[in-house]
Amino acid sequence: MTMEKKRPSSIIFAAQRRRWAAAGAALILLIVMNALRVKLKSAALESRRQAKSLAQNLEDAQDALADAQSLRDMKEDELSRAKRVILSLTRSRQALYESGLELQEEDRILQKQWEMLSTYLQVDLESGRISVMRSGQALESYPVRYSPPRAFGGEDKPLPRIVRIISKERYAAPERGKSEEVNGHLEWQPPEVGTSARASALGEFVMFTDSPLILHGPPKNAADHAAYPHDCLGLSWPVARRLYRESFVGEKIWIAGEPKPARAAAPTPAGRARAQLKRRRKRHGSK
Amino acid sequence: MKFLQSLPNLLPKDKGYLRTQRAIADEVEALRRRLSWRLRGRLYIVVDAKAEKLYLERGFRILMQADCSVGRGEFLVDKKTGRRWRFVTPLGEFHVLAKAANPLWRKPDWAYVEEGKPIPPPDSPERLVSGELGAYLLSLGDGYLIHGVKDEKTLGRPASHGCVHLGAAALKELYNATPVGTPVFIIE
Repeated sequence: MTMEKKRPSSIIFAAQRRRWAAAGAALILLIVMNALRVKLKSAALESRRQAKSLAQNLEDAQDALADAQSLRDMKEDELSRAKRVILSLTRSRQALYESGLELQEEDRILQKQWEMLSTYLQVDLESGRISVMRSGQALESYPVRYSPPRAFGGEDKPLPRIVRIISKERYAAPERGKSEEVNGHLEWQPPEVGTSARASALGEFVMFTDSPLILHGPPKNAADHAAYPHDCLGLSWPVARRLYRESFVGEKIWIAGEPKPARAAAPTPAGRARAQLKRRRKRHGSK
Repeated sequence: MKFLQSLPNLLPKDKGYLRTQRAIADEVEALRRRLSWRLRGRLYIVVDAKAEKLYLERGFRILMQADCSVGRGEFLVDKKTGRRWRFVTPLGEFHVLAKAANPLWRKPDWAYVEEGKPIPPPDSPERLVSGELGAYLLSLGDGYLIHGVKDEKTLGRPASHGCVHLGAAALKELYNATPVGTPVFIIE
């Protein structure tokens, strides 16, 4: 037989209080959670709104970027076109400038060639002068001592009317250069300065022709000159120098006119001095 | 705009420039007419001794042009004998008298005087030097030549002893294009 024990009322109340406390806590928890939910919901709404706004901004920015990119492309196109135009303009200007230079270059070359081909020397046997001629006009004219040219050192062969300068030698001293083929090789020997009779016969500023005529200044040695076979015009040093400077290799010398009838030989410098003294004495009435 | 203004303008602003150009063109035309009886259709060489340039032309058309070097115009005096040389390129109309490949040079007295060395006898074999004249040679007579040069830096200024120096490539082209008898105008 069991005996039922009754629980005391204090215990019952304590249990009830715990239940009520738990219920209260749960209620409070629910309230807090609800408050949090409301807050989160409002935050989410705000975020969504912001995201929407940002998406709109992004779209606007993308549009602006596309516009800017197309503008940049247009500018780049324009710039490259402008560069192409400028390059082509500069090139055409350069071509024009260079063609101008080429034209001036050709002008210069043709002028010089014309000068060379139209210049010749004319020995006028009647007046006893030698002239530098260009296109039929006498540019300069100088007296010669021997007109017609006097033959020295050998037989007197008649000169052709037209002869040509074949070489010029500044000092009349160089031996002629030559080039000859030896064993299949061309050997070259340039003009050399020599001490031969030829060198002292012809002096300075020598112009050889394709005939016995040689134009040259006063000889270094009169005996060598007389012995050297050539036809001579008897040029003075300044005339020989002038003609040497004004003439070209390949230039023609035209021997024009008929010589004057023979007359007394040209006076020597000593004879000229004697005649001058005679004239002076006559002027002053003295003997 | 600044970029445009900074671009170099090769042409003068004065429009008279073009008129001058036209006048020069007319002059050139007149000169061509005057010279056509001698030069039209002919092959010839022009050496501009002042500008140190060589042109190969046919008629009035330039086939090739190259820098060259002509006589430097200096004097050389042999103090022992009193002999004098002047290294000038003569002006005038010449002709190509001979052509040769791999030419030998018979060294002249002045080369020894210039080097301060004793002068060997005229026929001494030691005078013969190869390679000094370049690969090709065109002889203009009287010892004057168109030939090559060892130092091509000297081209464009007077540096020779009277010959016309050319660079190796231009010399080869000239040698191949020019027959014996071709006129050579040396102008200044």
